[in-house]
Amino acid sequence: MLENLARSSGAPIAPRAIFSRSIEYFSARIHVFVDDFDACKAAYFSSGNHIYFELRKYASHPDTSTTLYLSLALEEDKIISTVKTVVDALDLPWSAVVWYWSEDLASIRPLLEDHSRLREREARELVLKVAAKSPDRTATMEEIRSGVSSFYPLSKADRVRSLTRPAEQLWQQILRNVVSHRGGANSIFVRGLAEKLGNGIRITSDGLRHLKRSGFIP
Amino acid sequence: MLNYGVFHRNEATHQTREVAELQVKTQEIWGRTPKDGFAPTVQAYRPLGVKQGRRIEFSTDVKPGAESPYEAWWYLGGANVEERIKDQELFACIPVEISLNTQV
Repeated sequence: MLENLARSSGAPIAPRAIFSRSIEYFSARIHVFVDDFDACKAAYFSSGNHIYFELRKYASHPDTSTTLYLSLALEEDKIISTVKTVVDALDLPWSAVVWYWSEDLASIRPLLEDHSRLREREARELVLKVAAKSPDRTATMEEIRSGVSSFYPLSKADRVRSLTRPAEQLWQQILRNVVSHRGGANSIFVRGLAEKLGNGIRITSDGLRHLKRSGFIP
Repeated sequence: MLNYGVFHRNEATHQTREVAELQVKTQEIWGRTPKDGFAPTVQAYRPLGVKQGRRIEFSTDVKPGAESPYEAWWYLGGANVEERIKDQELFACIPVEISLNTQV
């Protein structure tokens, strides 16, 4: 369970991993500031087991990347396990970790690979996040597509035209599946996280609690 | 050739043309306390950080206290990171060799 904090703890931090997602993917509350280094967007988190971390995107970090900063005091033998704990808590696929502490500093896995594909599990979270950011907690299919494309990096494979729905690309079809399929144990509707609305969804209070657990909303 | 680098700092609010001139003249990079930070820190981008047209590039013999492929941080209190005070403000400082200044 993560808590999305209103301010930094001020603890000494150090960059320890890089994720191939924009910072807006992780938090509905983004702090914007300029410091001695550069302009920056940031989000601050803590977890029940006393892990404090920050996500930052400095102006000249590549687009669709977010850097994880952990406590500078964290012992070296705990850094990688803490990165894994944070990735799990954020509900982030491990494939989105393109570098972590102790790996070569001179190279990094690609932020976007041609063959990477939006999976339905991650698509369910994205749909809920788009609705949660809306003032009335609802989102139409068009708003979901627009919102997802603004904070999820779409690959060539995602943009391939669907064979069964030629008017749509594969990523759009996956989002439609999330919003259309009311059955199945993983459905956001069966789990009570959202209600179906015409051509869209409304996120429920359980859905908001779900996103609060992963720190997306304060 | 110095041991660590090449790093760069892009033109920004605190990395102005005047600051770049001073950095070239002194062959030093100074750093304030980052937003919400605990101590003055010199910060710079590593080669995989985006290079803007207007920037300085430098190398140093001071090992960064922390790094990612995008950035390097030298904390005051870290080995060979020096202290400077100007107008009652405390700065971290590292000696550098500046190889490029396009902030002219």
